[in-house]
Parts: sequence; structure tokens; C-alpha cells
Amino acid sequence: MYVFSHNGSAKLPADVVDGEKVLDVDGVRGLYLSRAKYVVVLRDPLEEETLEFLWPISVELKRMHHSAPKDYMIIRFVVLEKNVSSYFDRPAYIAGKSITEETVLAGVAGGLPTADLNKGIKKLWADGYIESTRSRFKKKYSLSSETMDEERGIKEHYPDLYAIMQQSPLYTTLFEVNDDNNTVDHFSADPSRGIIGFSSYSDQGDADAVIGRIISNN
Amino acid sequence: MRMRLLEELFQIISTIVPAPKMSEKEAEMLSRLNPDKFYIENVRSILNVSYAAAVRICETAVRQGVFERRIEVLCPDGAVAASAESEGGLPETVRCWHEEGGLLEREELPTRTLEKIVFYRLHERPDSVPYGQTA
Repeated sequence: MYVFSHNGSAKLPADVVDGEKVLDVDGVRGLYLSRAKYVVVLRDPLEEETLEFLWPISVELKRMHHSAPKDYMIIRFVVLEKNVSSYFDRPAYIAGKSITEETVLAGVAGGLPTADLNKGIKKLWADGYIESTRSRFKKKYSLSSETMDEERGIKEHYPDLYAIMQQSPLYTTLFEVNDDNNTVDHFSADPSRGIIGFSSYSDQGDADAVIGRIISNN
Repeated sequence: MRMRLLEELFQIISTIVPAPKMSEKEAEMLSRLNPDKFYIENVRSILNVSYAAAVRICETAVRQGVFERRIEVLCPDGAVAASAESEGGLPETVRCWHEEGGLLEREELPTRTLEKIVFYRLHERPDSVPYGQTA
């Protein structure tokens, strides 16, 4: 999931690369389907095949009301099949893809700056709603990383480091969610690049609830 | 209790590396070891002894009940996934993470395929009963 900032003027795109809009809710939430083609190389014997997927992509415009309104465009992708061998009865490798997240993003959010989510994420961390067990972050003269033993919490076990991290740009970081009412137990984020990833799908909107908390505190 | 364990440790060290005597600074650094987890290299570097001598010190300390030896399993990226008193006590699979497209993806991996390393901790023992009192 990618979050971009805008000045309130962004609109839902009419379509996406190699696809079309299939749902539009009040001009602020759109669902799109792209046709993604994978070129697959099979072994024993060597052969080339093509796999086609319908790739759902969601685009949402969100306005958060702070002292000054902040506007975001949130683009969600489903991660398509990575293990193409399951489609064939022999070893198979992806040789190429007709579209990627980057090509879709260029068409939908081209020109918009990525949202910096450090503030929202750090607020949830400070409040104890989330805790990090591994992170890459920028120090004064280096890019540093911390991976805790047995997924211990950085804030709980290394308060001095946590204090440094609260003042540093965070890059790829893993968070656990301390919310008994939310089925999401972990998520990964690159707050400085506006990227958030969930490893499992929740049909109860639990991932949306986490995203909502991040951007409402951002 | 920790001071008593450290005194026992100093005695072990003095039998293995009798000279030169441990300096005050080394004793202070040893007392700063994380009692819950330290590695042979931590002991070796503080005492400035060979790796083999550090192993002997740690293993003697285990035999004399000053240290506990434990084992931890490492994910392919080096992260410690789990620890136990022995390899048999480790879970059959552990959760690891790998980076993909700038984000972290979860995977369950069989413990038997992963690297394990030994670490030590100070043995937790109840304080001895006061003099004159029977247990």
C-alpha cells in the first residue's frame, strides 16, 4: 500500500494501465482491474508460457482534518502469485511481467509526492498501540538497523535507542500491533517512503483501521 | 546473589588464566555483562584471553553451576528467532522475515535447517539459606 500527499485537487483516475475502473464510490474511492501478464519459463523441457491475472487495485482519496486539512491518496495492491510453479506440473520461473506496481503508480499518482508517515507511526509507537521488533533508520552519519532477539520490543528493551529512533527517519520497519480488538498482529512499513504492507488479508477492515490511525495522527 | 556468582566465576577464571591477575577494570567489565545473555566472545574480549581459554572458562563455569549454557536458532538474515536450554527444546519451526520490495514478508522455516549458536547466562539459583537455618 502506497500513500501520497496532495493539495486537495487530486481526483480518482478514469482508468489504470491495462485496466479499467469497475467501481466508483462518490469520487473518493475507486476499484480498478488491470490485466497482468506473466511470461513464464518452464523447465524439462524448456518452454515459454503466459499467465494472465486480473489484478485488483484500490485508490482512495482521504482528507484528514487537523489544524490545516491534509489530503492523501492511498493506493492498495494485492500481491499477485509469486510461486508460479503451482500453475504447472514442473519447475517454472517468471521471466517478465507486463505491468508492475511502479508502472501503475506512475499512471495513477504520477507527480504526487509520497507521504511521509513518520509522525503518525511514531505517535502510535509512543502511545503503545504498536511496538517495533526490527527497524532500519537513519543516524547522523550512517544508516543503522536493529533486529531484536526473539522479536523483543525495541521501546521496551532499548529505551535509549527508542529515543534516538523517535527523532530519526524510519525506513523498512516491522511493527506488532497491541490491540486485542484488531486481527492484524504485524505490519511492515517504510514510513519515510509512505509504504505500508500487511502480510495477511482481513475482511473485517482491520488493516484499514490501522492505516486510519496512522494517517489521522500524521 | 549476582555478586556471589561473580566471585565464583573469578575463582574459575583464576584457575584457567592464573597470570596476570584480573585487573579491577576487567572485574568491573565482567560484572557489567548482561547476566541473561552473553557469548564466548564477550568473555574473551573482557579478559583478553584466547578463544579456547574463553571456551574453557565458560564450560567450567557451566559444570560448576555458575553459568547456564543455552542455544539459539538464527534466521537466514541472522535474527535470533528462538532460544532454549538445548537443541531439543527449540520449536520445530520458527518465524523469520525477509525483505521484498522494501517491505518485510513473514515465513515459517524448519529449525533443523537453520544455524544455531551457543550463549550463556548466569545460573539462577536461590540464595543459600542463612547460616544456622536448616532447609
